[in-house]
Amino acid sequence: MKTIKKIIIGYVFYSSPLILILFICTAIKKPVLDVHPLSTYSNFILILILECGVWTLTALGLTISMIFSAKLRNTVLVKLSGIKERDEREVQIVGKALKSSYLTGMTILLCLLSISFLQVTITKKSPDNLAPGELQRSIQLGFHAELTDSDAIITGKEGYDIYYQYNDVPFSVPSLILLMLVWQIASYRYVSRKALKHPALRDCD
Amino acid sequence: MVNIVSQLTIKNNINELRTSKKLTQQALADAVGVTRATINAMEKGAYNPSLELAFRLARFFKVDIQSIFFVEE
Repeated sequence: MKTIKKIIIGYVFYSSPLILILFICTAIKKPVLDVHPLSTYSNFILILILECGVWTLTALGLTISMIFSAKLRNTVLVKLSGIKERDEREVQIVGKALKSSYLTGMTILLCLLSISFLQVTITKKSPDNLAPGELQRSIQLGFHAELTDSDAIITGKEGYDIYYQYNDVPFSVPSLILLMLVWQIASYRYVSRKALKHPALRDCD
Repeated sequence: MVNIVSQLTIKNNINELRTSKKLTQQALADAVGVTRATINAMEKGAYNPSLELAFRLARFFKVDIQSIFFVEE
């Protein structure tokens, strides 16, 4: 059982760079997969997609097990985040670094929440339809909060064309989750390394 | 009246006691069960150990805790 767990953990972590490659490849150049015979590039992407499917299912299984098993969680995540608790001083440093990471992470989440509430619409009217004293451009600021995703209908002022519209955070949900994950690990490592180099703990905030 | 709330500056003689015993930081760290970095931090006065570690150090050097740790007035 231990060996199977080790293989699964190793597979999920060591093949994660492939997922990153797929992410970058498809972002740079979208492959055409409905043409036969497929090009070498499309074949490569197809293999990556298949690998990605297997990886996603395995990672899902592993993360669900990690929710219920504290031991598994410690084995996998302590190593990934670089937490070292060899003595009491390191335990204090871990506490300080986690506090810093938690608070900065929460700040980012609050900032993203504020951004997601914001709705900005800039409208423009053609100069021919302008009444005397009327402005060509107008700005509308709005508040938008919904529990589920829906396409909010934003209408400009009557007679105005929508020139620019901002509605919701300009990132996808997976990229936001990835950002928060990377932030958590990076901020923890930065603060703990700083505290380890300069042992005066009160200076590491 | 003495202000007991203000932060105390705690100094220690760990460096002197260690060098008198001709021990390396690593050897002392192994003897009391901490990392070498912790011994270094304590000697520099950058880290104040827990009571447990203080007692372990006192027991190792066969002295009172107050002979190792003292408050700088």
